[in-house]
Amino acid sequence: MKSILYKVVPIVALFIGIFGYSSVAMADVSQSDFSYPSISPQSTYMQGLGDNLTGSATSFTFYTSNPSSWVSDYTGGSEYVTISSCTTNWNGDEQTCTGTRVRNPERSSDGASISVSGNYVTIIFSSPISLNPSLWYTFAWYRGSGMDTLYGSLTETYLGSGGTQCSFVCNFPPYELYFNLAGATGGNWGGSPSNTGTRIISVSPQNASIVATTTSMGGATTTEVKGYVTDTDIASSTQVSVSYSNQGCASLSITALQAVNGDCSLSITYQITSSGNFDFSTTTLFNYIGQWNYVATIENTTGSYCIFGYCLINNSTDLSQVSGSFKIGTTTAYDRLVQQIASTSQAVPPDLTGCNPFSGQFDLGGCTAALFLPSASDTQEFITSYTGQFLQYWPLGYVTRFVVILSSSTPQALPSISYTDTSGNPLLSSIGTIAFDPLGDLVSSSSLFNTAVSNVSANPETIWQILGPLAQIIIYLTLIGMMLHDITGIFKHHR
Amino acid sequence: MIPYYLLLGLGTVLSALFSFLPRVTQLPWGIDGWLSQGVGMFDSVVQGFPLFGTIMQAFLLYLGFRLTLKVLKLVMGSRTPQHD
Repeated sequence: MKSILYKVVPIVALFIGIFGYSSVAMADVSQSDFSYPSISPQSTYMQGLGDNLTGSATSFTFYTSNPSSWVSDYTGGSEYVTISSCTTNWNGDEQTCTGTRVRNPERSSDGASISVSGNYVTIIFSSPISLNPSLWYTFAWYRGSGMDTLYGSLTETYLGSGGTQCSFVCNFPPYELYFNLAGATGGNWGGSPSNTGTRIISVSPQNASIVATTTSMGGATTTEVKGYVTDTDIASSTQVSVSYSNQGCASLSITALQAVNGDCSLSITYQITSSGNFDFSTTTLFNYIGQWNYVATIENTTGSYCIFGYCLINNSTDLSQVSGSFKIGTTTAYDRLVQQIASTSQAVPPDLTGCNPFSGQFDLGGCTAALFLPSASDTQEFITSYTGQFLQYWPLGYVTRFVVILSSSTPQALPSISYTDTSGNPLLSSIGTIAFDPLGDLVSSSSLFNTAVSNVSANPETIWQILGPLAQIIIYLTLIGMMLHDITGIFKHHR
Repeated sequence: MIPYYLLLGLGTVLSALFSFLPRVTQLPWGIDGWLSQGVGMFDSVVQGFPLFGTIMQAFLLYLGFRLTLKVLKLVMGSRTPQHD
């Protein structure tokens, strides 16, 4: 037994060490979700205004090709803007903004007024919007039937009146629209605001998102990559490729597993034929649940000689690259392991401060306990994590299923017995059907047990509410007595 | 913490090794149905007649206590504080 332990423990430790290293070395994603607006099928243009905004916004300015249409049409017309505050970061779609519309300037009841200066349209709020730095602000522009276009601007890139902070640089076409939120200060856009070059704008499924699946072995979903290629970068061999790999499956490299369930990784390549914006999508089958890491690359393969994906001469140039991860279905045990080890805050629980002699909270007992005793939350996490894994495999799955049934709490109606006499006896026939519900009367809310009996009209109590505490005391005292008897032998029954 | 990660590592290996085994979604021979129904009915009895719940809880506590004693006996042998 000992010799087996000597072999198993180092292997497991090595296993954990490798996983920990690989997860720490994983690249981080710096692209901020709200850095870029998107176009929804309803021709709604969304633009993140940033978070960490303070002050009071008095007006909102944008740049348009046809300002006169706004003057005549902005109250209840076919195009208008709204400003929303999101409690969570938005992902380019108003539906994902969990928050409220703070202003609907298009509504006449809103009391906003409009002014035009050249191509700049300014909507002046009826009262200033007090900005909360903990919220994310967005603006949505609902486009009418081809009336005009909103522009970005490379020259007017500051937020607030006379501020020096750069907002989104708004190159045309308006993936990044010009805006000016007067009266606002601060702002945090989480990335470089002046990216006008060839770039990947978004990858879907988005970073840190979860794709629901109904099966336990992955599922199909729509994958999409959006981006922009400048005139100078476009060539006959410019392409964008997105490679996906399942974190647990790819790292374990279990070929047998792949033979049964399919590949752990896949790659999709689209040819980019013209400069400007591109948007490619397809339905992709991901064979495994858990975390999938992706790397999307715009590359120019001029000078390369490749056949069936194998390059004899690889001369490709990466023009832009983003990476991230999403989850298909639930997190797997492997993902949880990586997450636990990679995340410093989780891997080192507060209890372990007792292990540091210089922390000022040195506590050898607490340290030992933290190291060697699994906490209740750890155990719970472990069970939750593995209930969907090997605890469901035959034959252990029978025990798991048994426990799941016992711990479920969906009340079911009790059976009742009914008898209808068919003997033809006139005496019994006159009675009809005899129904017997043995526990119904006892259990139902109108039973004697649950009937309010106390005469205190303000707070009527049922029999159980009155007698319950007494019954519980008797039961638990009996229990304690039985335990004491088992330990000490007192309360011995004499015959 | 250490046992937790050891268990996690072990569990991951087990998950990978035994993934070829079929998943159990329900108990055989109709046991799943009647057990679910029985537990559901007991729940409804407890809802209407909470004394059953208290008695069952006390019973489970006692069961846990006896189990703890058994484990202690396994570890401590004759030194277990148990009256025979």
